[in-house]
Amino acid sequence: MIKEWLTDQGLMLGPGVALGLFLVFFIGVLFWIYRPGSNRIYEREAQLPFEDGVRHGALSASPAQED
Amino acid sequence: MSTETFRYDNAIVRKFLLATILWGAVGMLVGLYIASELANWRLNLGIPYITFSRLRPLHTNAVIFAFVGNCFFCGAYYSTQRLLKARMFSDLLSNIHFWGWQLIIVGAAITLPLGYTTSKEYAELEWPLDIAIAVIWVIFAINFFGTLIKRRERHIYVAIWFYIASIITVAMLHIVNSLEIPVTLWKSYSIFAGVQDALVQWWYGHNAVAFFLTTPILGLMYYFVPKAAERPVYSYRLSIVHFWSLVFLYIWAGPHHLLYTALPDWLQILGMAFSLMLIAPSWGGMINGLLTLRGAWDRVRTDPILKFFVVAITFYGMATFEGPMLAIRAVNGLSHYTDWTIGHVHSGALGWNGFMAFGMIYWLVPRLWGRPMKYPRLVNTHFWLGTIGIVVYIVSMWVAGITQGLMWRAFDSQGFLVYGNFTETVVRLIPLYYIRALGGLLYLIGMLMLAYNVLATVRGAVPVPDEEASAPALERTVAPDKTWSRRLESHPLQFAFWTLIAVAIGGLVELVPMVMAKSNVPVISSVQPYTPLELEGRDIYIREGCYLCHSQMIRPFRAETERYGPYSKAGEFIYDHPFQWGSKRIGPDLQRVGGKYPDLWHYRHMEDPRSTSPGSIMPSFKWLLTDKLDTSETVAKLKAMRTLGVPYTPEEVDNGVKDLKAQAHQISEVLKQSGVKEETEDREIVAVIAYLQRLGTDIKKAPVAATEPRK
Repeated sequence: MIKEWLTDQGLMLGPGVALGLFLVFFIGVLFWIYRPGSNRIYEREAQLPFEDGVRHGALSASPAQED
Repeated sequence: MSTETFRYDNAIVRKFLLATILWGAVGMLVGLYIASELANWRLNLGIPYITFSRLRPLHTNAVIFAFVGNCFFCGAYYSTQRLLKARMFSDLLSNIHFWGWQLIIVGAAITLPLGYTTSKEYAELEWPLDIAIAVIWVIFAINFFGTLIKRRERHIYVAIWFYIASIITVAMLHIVNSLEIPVTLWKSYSIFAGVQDALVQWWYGHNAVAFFLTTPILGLMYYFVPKAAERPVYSYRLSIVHFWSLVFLYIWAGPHHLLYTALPDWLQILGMAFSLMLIAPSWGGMINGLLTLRGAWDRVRTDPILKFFVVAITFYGMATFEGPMLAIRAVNGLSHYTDWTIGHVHSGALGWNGFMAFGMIYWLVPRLWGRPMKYPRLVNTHFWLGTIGIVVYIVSMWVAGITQGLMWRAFDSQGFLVYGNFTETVVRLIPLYYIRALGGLLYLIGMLMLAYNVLATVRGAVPVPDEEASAPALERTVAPDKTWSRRLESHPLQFAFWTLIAVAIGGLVELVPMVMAKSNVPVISSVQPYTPLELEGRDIYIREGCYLCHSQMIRPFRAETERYGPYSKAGEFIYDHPFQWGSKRIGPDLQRVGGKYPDLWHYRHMEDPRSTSPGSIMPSFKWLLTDKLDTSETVAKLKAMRTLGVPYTPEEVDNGVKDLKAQAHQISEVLKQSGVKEETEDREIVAVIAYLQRLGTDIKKAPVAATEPRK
């Protein structure tokens, strides 16, 4: 069955194109995220949810647990 | 650099939050009712508007677009303003978005039970509501991108990326799948037919799951989980890999809904391959979400919000493992058309979407109304009821699906089907349908607890006013030393453009050849357009939602060809605007039902299904026997079909009503001779009989020569 899959052009065409496109794209993304200077940018971006500029309510504990 | 002071708009977040709770309860209540109708057909009560097949689209639309949709908007409006350090672009647009979306939901709640449906799953709303959705979505997009443009934070956090991908892709999917020709105010025909329509529909349907139920909620996960855990996301790099891989891969996977159908093999293989690859980004996201709780796991024991989030992300992982597994052709051969798919869908909807929504609501309410939840213990009870409810639900559906799938394909030692009577395989599932309803009931009780707790908390509370915040204005120039990559991640419109490219590739590669290349749909010369009466019967079939329980697609398995007849070919569906292949077999396939039973059988079956099929759980459609057939739109329907390329001659269009009446008279006479005393000639039942008796019969006729004019 495996031999049939590996030798049947019709069956292999779809996965072949799919895998090729994905690998090119995926490797491109990997190069992208490890580009020079990205460490500093990503560390800064990861902190963005904590820069509300507002401290409303008692956020130190889950509000559902207060009371 | 001057610091600017501004206020976040909390009012719009509160509105969407309350709408999420309202529609969540409604959608789940309808879900519980239709689950109960499957367990006990008597609950259909003989009322057309609450029949399973009319309420089922209402349930799916309410949960997807009303519950999860409002949840997405609620979380997005809250987080976007804070992540971008800017109030929404326009309060007016925010409010138009809110009220417009709620009106569309009300429109759906009215029109779907009335039978106004396109029959395309999760896109059932008719064309006026389709246009309204497009308009409101564009308003949301303008408001969202306007906020991005006036933001005070250069960096665009990954949650916003997921929102951008959702907004762009949903627009693309909705527009393409809604291409239809209006016939009347509440009736339209898809411009695509048969196999092409099926591909477009499931390209849409699968990606509605991807870009309405997954990417928006992932955006919420990347904002609210770090906030609740008070820790930054585990790996920001992983979140970027997660994002790009997911948006690139997801769009290709639609054909896995059509495995072993008449869809060309190359598309089926492509859909399966990409579905398998989807495990990687999906699990990358799951790991990133769960590991965000590093160092905070002790709090999961005591903090119900974190419990909701952890279980939600775990269900995301389970569902995104199960999905690719079900997309393997060998597995799909067993699971497709069974309740296994229903179990899979609900592990995502109840576990992933529902629990993320609940966690977010419990986190937001105290912050938006300035007081803690009134009944904190009830939050914990909700968590456990919901969790048990999901497990009861999905396990019962797994068992039901595998049971039925195995029964359908069982042969005895003589080579005959062991369960040749389809009803035998349905009756076996009824106890599991009761268990499923119990699971749904537990989940709904949890949802009502949330509603009660939130109402008790906000009653009498003074809503937190729009909070004041301040941030330096954003510099409009990019320093020359910044790289192009930096500029891309900081420029929303460029980013949106590349996201569109990433999501469009898969669709283009699959849809364009399928629609353009004639070799994908081999012509069968004996296949002819429906007669006017059959066309009217088909529209009634669509109105009643028959496609929700009966497929019209026989797969090339011996178990199916033995039971139903020759397997389905793509060329048989070229006049089917829209296609009626269905996705579930609560009843048997109908592709070759034409000529299988006499007209009287169908008459009696619609009146009382158990009189012809003992043990059937199908509701009675007795109103078809009494309601008069409306022929006032017949000519308009034929004209619309002709516009779409169906080869009706001008004479056939002009004589549509006359031909319809002649065929109705013939069927009526046959019924009369069979002993039916009631008047039938001008009733809807004759149209339905005409349509059902036509199904799958064309390939049995002699081929029509190319030069021979069609009669």
